[in-house]
Amino acid sequence: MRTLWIPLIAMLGVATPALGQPSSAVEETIRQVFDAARDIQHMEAQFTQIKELQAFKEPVTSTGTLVYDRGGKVVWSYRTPARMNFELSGSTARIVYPDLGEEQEFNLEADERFRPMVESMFVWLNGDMTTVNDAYEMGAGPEPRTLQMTPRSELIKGFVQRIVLHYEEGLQVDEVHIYEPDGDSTIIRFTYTNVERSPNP
Amino acid sequence: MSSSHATIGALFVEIHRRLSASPVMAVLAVGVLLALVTGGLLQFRIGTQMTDALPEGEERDRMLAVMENFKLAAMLLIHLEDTREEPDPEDLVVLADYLAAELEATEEYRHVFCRVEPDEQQAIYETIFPRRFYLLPMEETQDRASPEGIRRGVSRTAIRLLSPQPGFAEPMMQRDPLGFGEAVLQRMLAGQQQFTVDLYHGHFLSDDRRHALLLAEPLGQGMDIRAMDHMLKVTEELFDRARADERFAGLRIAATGGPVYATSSAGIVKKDVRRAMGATGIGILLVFLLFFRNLRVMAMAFVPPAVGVAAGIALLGFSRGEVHGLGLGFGAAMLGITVDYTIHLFTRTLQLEAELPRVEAIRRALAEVSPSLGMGCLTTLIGFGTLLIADTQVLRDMSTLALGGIGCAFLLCAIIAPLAYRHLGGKARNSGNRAAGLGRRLEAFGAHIDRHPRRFVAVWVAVSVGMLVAATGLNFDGDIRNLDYQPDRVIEEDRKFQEVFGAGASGAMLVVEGETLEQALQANDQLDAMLAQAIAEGRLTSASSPATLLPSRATQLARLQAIHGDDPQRLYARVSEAAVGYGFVDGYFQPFFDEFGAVVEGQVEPLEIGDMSGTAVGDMLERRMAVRDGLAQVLTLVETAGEHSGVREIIDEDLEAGVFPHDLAAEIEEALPGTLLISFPDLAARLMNKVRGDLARLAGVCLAALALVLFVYYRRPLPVLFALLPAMASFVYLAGMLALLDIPLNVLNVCGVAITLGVAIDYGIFVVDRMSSQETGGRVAAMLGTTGTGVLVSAVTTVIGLGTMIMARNPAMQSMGMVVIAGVAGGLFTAAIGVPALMRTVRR
Repeated sequence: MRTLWIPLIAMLGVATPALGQPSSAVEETIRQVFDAARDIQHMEAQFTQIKELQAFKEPVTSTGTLVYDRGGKVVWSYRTPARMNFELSGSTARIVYPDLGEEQEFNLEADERFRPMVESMFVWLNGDMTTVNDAYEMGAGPEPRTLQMTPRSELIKGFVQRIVLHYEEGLQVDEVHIYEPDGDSTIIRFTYTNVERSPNP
Repeated sequence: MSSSHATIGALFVEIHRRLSASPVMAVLAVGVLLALVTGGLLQFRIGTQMTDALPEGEERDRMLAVMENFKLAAMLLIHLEDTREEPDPEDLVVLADYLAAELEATEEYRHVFCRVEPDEQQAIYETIFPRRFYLLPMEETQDRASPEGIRRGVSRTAIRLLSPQPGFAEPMMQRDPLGFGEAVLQRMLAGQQQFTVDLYHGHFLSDDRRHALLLAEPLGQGMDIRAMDHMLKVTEELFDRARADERFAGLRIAATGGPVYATSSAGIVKKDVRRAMGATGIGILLVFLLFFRNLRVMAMAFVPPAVGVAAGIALLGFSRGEVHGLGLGFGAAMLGITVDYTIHLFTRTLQLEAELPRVEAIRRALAEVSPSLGMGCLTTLIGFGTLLIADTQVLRDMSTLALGGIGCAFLLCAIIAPLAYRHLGGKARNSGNRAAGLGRRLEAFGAHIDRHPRRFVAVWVAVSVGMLVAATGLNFDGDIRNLDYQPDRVIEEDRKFQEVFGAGASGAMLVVEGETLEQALQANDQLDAMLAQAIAEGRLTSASSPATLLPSRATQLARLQAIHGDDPQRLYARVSEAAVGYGFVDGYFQPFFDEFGAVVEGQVEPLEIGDMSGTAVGDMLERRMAVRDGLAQVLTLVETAGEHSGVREIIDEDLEAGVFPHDLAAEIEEALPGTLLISFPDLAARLMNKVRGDLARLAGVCLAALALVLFVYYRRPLPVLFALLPAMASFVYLAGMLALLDIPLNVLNVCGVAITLGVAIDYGIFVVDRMSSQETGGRVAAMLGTTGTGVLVSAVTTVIGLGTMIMARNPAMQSMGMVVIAGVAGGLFTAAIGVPALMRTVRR
C-alpha cells in the first residue's frame, strides 16, 4: 500500500516538454525541468481527482489539498467524498482515516523490494535525474505539453502501465494521468496556491 | 564440674601421653591426612550457579526445567552502535551481517538473528493470509463479521480505492474487505516484538538508525557457566577482530544478556572467595603474631585450623566434586571459627607454662580445656549438621564443609598441636605474657561483676530486651536477584541496551501444560483471554503470548464458525448489500466469497506450528513451546504494570492458599490448575515462606539436639540453660542489629544463624565449664582471667574471618558476614557478661 503513492508524489512540481524520444534537446529540457524541481522548497495545491475504476459503477470524484516540503515531507489530504490523509516523512508513511477512526504507519525501509523505487522517487523530487531515469523510461506524451513515463521494472509495471504528466507554460505540472494494466485510470488536476522556490544562485 | 568433663579431659591427656611415647604414629596419621586432603583439593571445582541457592523441590525443578526447555536467559544480546558524528546505517548492516556469519561459524551458536529475509517475509505472509479467518481473537472476529463490521469494512475498502494509485493493493482489498488479514499481521507485529526495533533492509535497527541488534542463541546448555565463559571468550575475540577492522571504525560492539550476567556474577564470586580466604588468613596470622609473639607457636596454632578448612573442602571435593562459591566463602569464615580451638588451648598452655614445666603445662591445659573444646566442637557440629537437612545445595555444602573442617581442626588441635608444641615448640619464652596481660585486665573487669552481679544482669537483660524489641522489625528478602552482584560496566551496558531496544525481559513468565501440544495450546488460549482482560483492566502492561499467532486448532475452528454462523450465504449477502450501497459493481467481492468458501469447506487447514518453520516467526514460536516426554508446555511472557499492581502485587500474596479471591494469579490457578508462574517477586514470596519454615525447623532441631547433648554433658538443667543462653541471645542480637541496620535476612545469610549458634554455644560451654571448675571457685574474675582471654581472642578471630566477607562485592557473602558478626557480638556479650553475672547471682 505504502509504495503506491510514490510515483505520483515523485511527479509533483516536475514538468518537461513534450518529447517523443529522448534527444539531446529533450535531455536538455529534462535537465532544465529537474533544475526547476530542485528549486522548489515548499508547495501547496488543491486537487480534484477523477477515478474510473472497474470496481465502481460510476467514476468517483474526490477533492483535497497537497502540501510538499523539500526534505521528503508530503501531506496529501482528501476532503470529499471521504476524508483521508496520507503523510510521508522520511522513510515513514502514515495513512489516517478520520471517518473510520483508523490509522496505519509504514516503514518504507522495512521492505527490501520497494526501497530502491522509493529512493529513486525522492531523489527525483530532489532533482536527481539519473536515479529517476533508472526507474522510468521517459518520453513524449500523446498530446502537446505532456510527458509520458513508463516503468522499467516488472514490479512497478504490475500496477502502473504508464503515467502522463501535463504541464503548463511555466513548466509546472497541473494534471497527472495514471493508467493501470487492468484498465483503471486516475486523473488528478492541481491548482497551485503557493509555491516557494529557493533564490537563484 | 561434671564427670563427663573429667572423663573427656583424661581421654585427651592419655592420647597425648601415648603418642608422645611413639610420635611416629602421629607423623604417619598426619601424612595420610595431608595426602587425602591434597587428593580432595585436586577433585573440586568452584560452582557459581545462583540457582543452587534456591531450595530444592518440585517447584525449583519445574522452574529450572522451564528455563532449560525455553532457553530463557540464554540469549546473548549484541548491541552495535554507530558513534560517528555522521552515522551510516549501511555500515551497521554490513557489520551485523559480518558478525552474524562469523559467530555462526564459531559453532558456539545455534543461530544468530540479525535480519528478516525478504523471502522470509513473503513466506510468513503467504502462510498467514490464507488462514486469516482463524487467527483473530473471538471478539474481534465477531465484530468484523457483524453487520456493522461488514459495513465498516466495505466502507474502508471504498475509501482506500480513492487513493491515487490503488492498483497494487486492490486485489487484496477484493479478497479481504473485512480486513482480517491486515489485522492479523498487525497483531503479529505488535504482539511478538520482544525488543523495540525497526526493520532497515530487513535488519533490526533502532529508530534513529544508530544502533543495530543481533540475537545470538547459544548452542550449549544454558546453565553451564563454563560453556558460557568459553563462548563469550570466543565471541569477544571475534569482536576484537571486528574492532580492528578499518571498515568498522567508529562502530561500537557490546554484548549483554543472560550469559554475560551469569559469567560476570560467577567471576565476581570467585574473586570474592579468593580475597576473603586470603584476607582471613593474613588477618588471623596478624592476630596470632600480636597475641603469641612467637612464630613457632603461631604456626602450630594456625596449621590445624588451616588444614581443617582444607579438609572440609577436600571432603566436598570427594563427595560432590564441586563447591559452590558461596560455600567456599564460608570456608574462609570457618577458619575464624576453627582457630578458636588452638587459641583456647595455647592460651591456657602458655599461661600454665609460666608456672609449670612444658610437659605438665600441656597435660594440665589438655585436661582443663579439651572437654570444653570437645563439647564446643560437638555442639558446633550439631549446629552445622542440621543444615544437612536443608533443601538448599549451598547450605548443605556449608554443612559438609563445616563437619569435615571443624571436626578435623578439632582433632588436629587436641591431638597433634600439643604434641608438636611439646617436641617442636623450642625454648619456652615469654609467649604467655600477652595472654597473661589481657587476662589480668579481664580479671579486673570480672572482679566488678563479682561485686555487683545483679547490676550486670540488669544491664544484660536491658540490652537483650532492647534487641528483642528491635528484632521484631527484622525483614526477610527472598529476591535472589539481591544476592547477585554485577559490575558497573555490565549494568551500564544493560542500561544502554534497554534504553535503545526496550526491556526485552518480562516481569513474569507463565507456562501452561498439556499432554499434547493441542491441549497446551487450548490452555494457553484460555490464559491469553484472562491476560487480555487483566491488561484491559490495567492490572498488567502487556503479554506476549504465542496465542496471538498460534491459537489451538479448536479455537481457530471456533473463530471461523463465528464468522459464518453455519450460513456463509448470509455473510455474502450482507457484504454484497453493503457493496451496492458504496457504489461497487456487482460481484466485486467474489474473490472474498470464493476464498472464504474454500476455508469453510476445509481446503485451508488451521495454522500449525510447522507451517512457519524456517522463518523468524516460526523460530520464535518454537522457542515458546516445548514438547518432551509426553508433556507439552507453552510459555507466555508478561510485563507487569508496575511496582504495586498486576502480577507483582498478586504474587506477594500466597498463590497456593489463594488468600485474595479477586487476585489474577488465584484466578489463573483456579481456571488452569498447574500453570507455572515464574517471576522473581513470586519466587521471593515463596522462598521467604520456605525460609521462614526452614529457619524454624532448623533452629528447633538444632536447639533440641544441643540441649540433649548438653544435658548428657552437665546432667543438670541449669548449666544446660546457661550454656545455651549465648546461642539463644546471639540469634536475638543478630536479628535486632540487622533490624536496626536495615539489613534483611535472606535465603543465604540465614545460615549465619547456624554459624552463630555453633560459635556462641562454644562460648557458653567454655564459660559455664570454667565458672563451674574448682580453680575459679565460681568467681567471674578467675574465669575471665583465663577462659575469657581465649573467648575474646577467638571472637576477634571469628570476626576477622567473617569481616572479610563484608568486603565482598557479592551481596550474599557480604550480608552473611554481617549476620555472623552481629550474632558473634551478641554471643560474646552474653557469654562474657550475662552468663557469668547470672551464674554469680544464682550462686549467691
